[in-house]
Amino acid sequence: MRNGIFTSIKNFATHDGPGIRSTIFLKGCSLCCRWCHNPECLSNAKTILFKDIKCVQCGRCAEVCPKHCHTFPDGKTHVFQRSSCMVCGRCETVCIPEALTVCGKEISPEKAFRILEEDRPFFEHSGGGVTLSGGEPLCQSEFCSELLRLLRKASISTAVDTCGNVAWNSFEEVLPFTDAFLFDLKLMDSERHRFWTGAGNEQILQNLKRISLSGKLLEVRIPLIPGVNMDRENLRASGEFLAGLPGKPEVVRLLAYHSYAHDKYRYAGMTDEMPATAPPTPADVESASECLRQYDLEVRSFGRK
Amino acid sequence: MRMRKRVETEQGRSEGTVECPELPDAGIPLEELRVEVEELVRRERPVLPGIILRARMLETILDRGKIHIDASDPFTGHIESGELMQHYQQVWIAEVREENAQNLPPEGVEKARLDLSHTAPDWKNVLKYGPRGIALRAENAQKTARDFEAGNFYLAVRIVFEAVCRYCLRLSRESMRAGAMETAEMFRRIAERPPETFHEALQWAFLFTQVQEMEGEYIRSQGTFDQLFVEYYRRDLASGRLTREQAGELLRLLFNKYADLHFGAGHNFCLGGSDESGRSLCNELTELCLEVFRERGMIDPKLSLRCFPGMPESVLLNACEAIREGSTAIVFANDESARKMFRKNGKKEEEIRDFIPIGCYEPSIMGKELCCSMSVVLDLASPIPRLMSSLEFPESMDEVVQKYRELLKEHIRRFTDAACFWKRKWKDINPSPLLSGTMDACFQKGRDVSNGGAEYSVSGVVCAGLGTAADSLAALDYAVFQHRLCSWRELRDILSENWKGHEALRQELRNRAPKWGCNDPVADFYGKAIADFAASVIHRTPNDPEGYFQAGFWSIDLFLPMGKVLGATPDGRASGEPISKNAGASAGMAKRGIPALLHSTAKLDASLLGDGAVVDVTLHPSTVDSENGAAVIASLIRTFFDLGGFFIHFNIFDSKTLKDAQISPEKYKDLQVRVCGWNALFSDLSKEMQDSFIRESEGLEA
Ligand code: SF4
Ligand code: SF4
Ligand code: SF4
Repeated sequence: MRNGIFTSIKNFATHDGPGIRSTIFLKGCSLCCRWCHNPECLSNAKTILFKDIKCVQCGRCAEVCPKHCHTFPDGKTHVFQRSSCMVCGRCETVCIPEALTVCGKEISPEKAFRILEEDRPFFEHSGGGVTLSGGEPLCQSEFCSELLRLLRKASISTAVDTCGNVAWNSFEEVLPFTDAFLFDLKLMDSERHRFWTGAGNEQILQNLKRISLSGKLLEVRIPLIPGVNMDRENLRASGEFLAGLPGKPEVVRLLAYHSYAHDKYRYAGMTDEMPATAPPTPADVESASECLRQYDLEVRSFGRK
Repeated sequence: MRMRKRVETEQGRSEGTVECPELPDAGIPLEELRVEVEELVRRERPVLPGIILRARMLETILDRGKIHIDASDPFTGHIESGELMQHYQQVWIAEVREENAQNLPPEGVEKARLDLSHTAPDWKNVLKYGPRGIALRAENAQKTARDFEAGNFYLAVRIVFEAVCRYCLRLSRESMRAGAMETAEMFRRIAERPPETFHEALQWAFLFTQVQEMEGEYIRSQGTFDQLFVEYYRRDLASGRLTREQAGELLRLLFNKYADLHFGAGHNFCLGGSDESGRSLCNELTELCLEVFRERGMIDPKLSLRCFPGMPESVLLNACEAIREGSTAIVFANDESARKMFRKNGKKEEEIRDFIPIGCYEPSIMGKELCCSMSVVLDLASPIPRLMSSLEFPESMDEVVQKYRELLKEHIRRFTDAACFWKRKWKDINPSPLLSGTMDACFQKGRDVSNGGAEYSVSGVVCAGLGTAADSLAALDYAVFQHRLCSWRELRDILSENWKGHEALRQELRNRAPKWGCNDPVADFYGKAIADFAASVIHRTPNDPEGYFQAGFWSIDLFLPMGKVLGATPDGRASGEPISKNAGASAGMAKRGIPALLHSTAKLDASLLGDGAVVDVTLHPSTVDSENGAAVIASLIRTFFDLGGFFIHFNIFDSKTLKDAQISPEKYKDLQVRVCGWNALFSDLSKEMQDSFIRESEGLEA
């Protein structure tokens, strides 16, 4: 299928590669990290998000739902029975406060291009462009490759934000039209990787090696998650691996974990299985950076010093 | 008695010298001064021409007011003026208003007025001549005055500038008494000849600012500061009189002095800019001022930074770093848009390099143009309720728009007529020889600025509520014509009942009808049509005398009180809620993010924005927290200006911080916000204004 399934487009994205960017989030992922910050992107199926905090209990959704998913047992609390929902989208149409939204809409590469192209003047002045993220965008590599081709043809700089856990030929499809890769590196030990993300890391490391040789701008992103991957052992192993890559990454970016995604799990009807974890302190981030810098890497993080 | 003596001394004045009036002490107490001025006004108002009377009043204050010197302060000098000139100005304005009450629109948030708070002198002449030089210039001109009025004008200029010289001598003597010999020497030199050193020039400019404000007109720009003062700076550095650090220290102390004047809207220093061929006018002082500004991190003075395509990246980045650090008291101005606008208004190429934003963001030519940018303030959305009631069954949006235009035009005319009336009264109420004495055109014409003396005498019409007006038309289109959610008359009744019982419709129009500021073709069509129409009605309407009106699209903080008096509007806004701020979107409605907001507002035709237009951008701190954060802000500015935008300024905060600051202000003593064209400490804002910022940042995070 050439069309893509996306959840949203974010303008003025400033953490998704160089400059000012527009990021399109594609649905579906090949991992299931327990800390995932975009849980609504995990599955590639359309779902309904219910942002209970936006609901004004007007009852209009109940009136239109053919499956009677929306009920108000005590007249006040809105209960959404997801199990029988067939994602027809009718409730979204009538829900004006945008408490109910269909997550995952189909879009053609041409249409996506037209929307993304709008901010071109901002890209040009900032050295920015368009980033494909998700989920794992390369799960929809055909769509990605066509969209990237269109962007490139229009001289818009492109980036792909990937977890790396896809077959190499998916990379090959997008490689000619991609200027930069944001490549996640989560854990060096394959067993631990499997425990936390549902898959081993062999394919990921292999792909990262190959990408580093592609001559594309490469930013390796390490999420810093207390209790998961912040131990010295993992950091040193990461540093060693990155230093040993055939092509050196331009930047190694440390992303401090935060629990902002917690509510999103509820909106999507999922349970957040991540144990409650305090975000790393700026000092933690700094010491991790120091550790990695010993491997002669350009280590950066967000947050004003 | 005293008065007589003074008049005699004045007649006995020999040409070319100024003597310090003999006073036994540092001046008379304010109470006595008040009595003296009162006597003067009572005795002379019936006989003296207004301009001479005002000159005499200022002279009395400068000659006799109590002065203070702080020997440890490099920018010392203070006089107890008791704001006496302002007092009479207000009394006389009230007199005029009373006499003409039946012909003037009632005083409300929307109003026409005598705008004496948006002026700037010709700073080049202030520095080039010094007080003595201007007094001599007036004395010479007086000899060949072409008519009686001109003779009076030159005499008035001479009176006030000679009084300024004597004031300097008084300060000098007082400094001596306080043991500040160097300061004494500096004041003496300022009284005698134009300033020569960096310190002298700054001191004189600061002193001039205070005296002009005593005269009754606020100085709302310190001019193209870096260009005006760089020669003094270079000379002092070359001669070894100053080091860069010492110059920076002087600037820091001077900025503190301006801040101590506690003028609510802040003192405006213009930096940067390009000349007529686009070459950079930035210099070493631009950089130094920005450094000092960043280091101070204060709300006052505020900066206007003129940007242009070839602007040195380091200058822009320095300013953007300040924004990132939360020092947001900077408005960024687009030289290219200014040039387009000035050209269209017939300004000469070589004048345009002296573009300064006056007040907050009102473009003006330094020394040539009398700005008066807030002669009228009105709300573009205020004809909407009348629009609803004056149509019954409109058949198309064309009919609606036609009617809106008619009503708006009427609305504008009512205020511009009143503003003309006030402008004509200026010369009776508050002739301004001190301000006029700095302007070449006033000398050539022999006329005060209050009497058409300036090269260009414009009056600004501030049009607030562009977003609300555009959203209202777009919502009418959406509800009545496109989606037929209700009929015109139904909606009219619903609005007059303030949406009672129709919350669902209100929600729908608020959340689904197209909105200005989202780069939406429909809403932007209405926004641009309204702005173009308002500007065409206003633009070049003659004001009186010798000038014309020009339109601006901004609101400053009036978006709150204007909203209070406006009934429910079709865009889903309830009665009393704020209208849109400046040229931007309605609160919380810029849902498609910053680039879309900038796309929309850049669609306004800059050449029609004689009185400026500004967009407010609220940045979430996390969006600029990478190593390239400042560059991100810089590219927003450059892109906006490339698209044709005119003025842009920033806030940087998140709702969590603001809410916390509302609860525990002591933890956030330095937290500042860009209110509109000026900054304030968050803790000093009203609860209502604080809430409006919290709503704004929440909208951003949603
Ligand atoms: S339509 Fe939306 S707001 Fe109304 S009850 Fe349903 S979810 Fe809540
Ligand atoms: S998407 Fe359709 S089936 Fe699912 S809850 Fe909404 S209306 Fe009911
Ligand atoms: S790779 Fe990213 S999107 Fe996929 S599960 Fe992990 S965190 Fe979520």
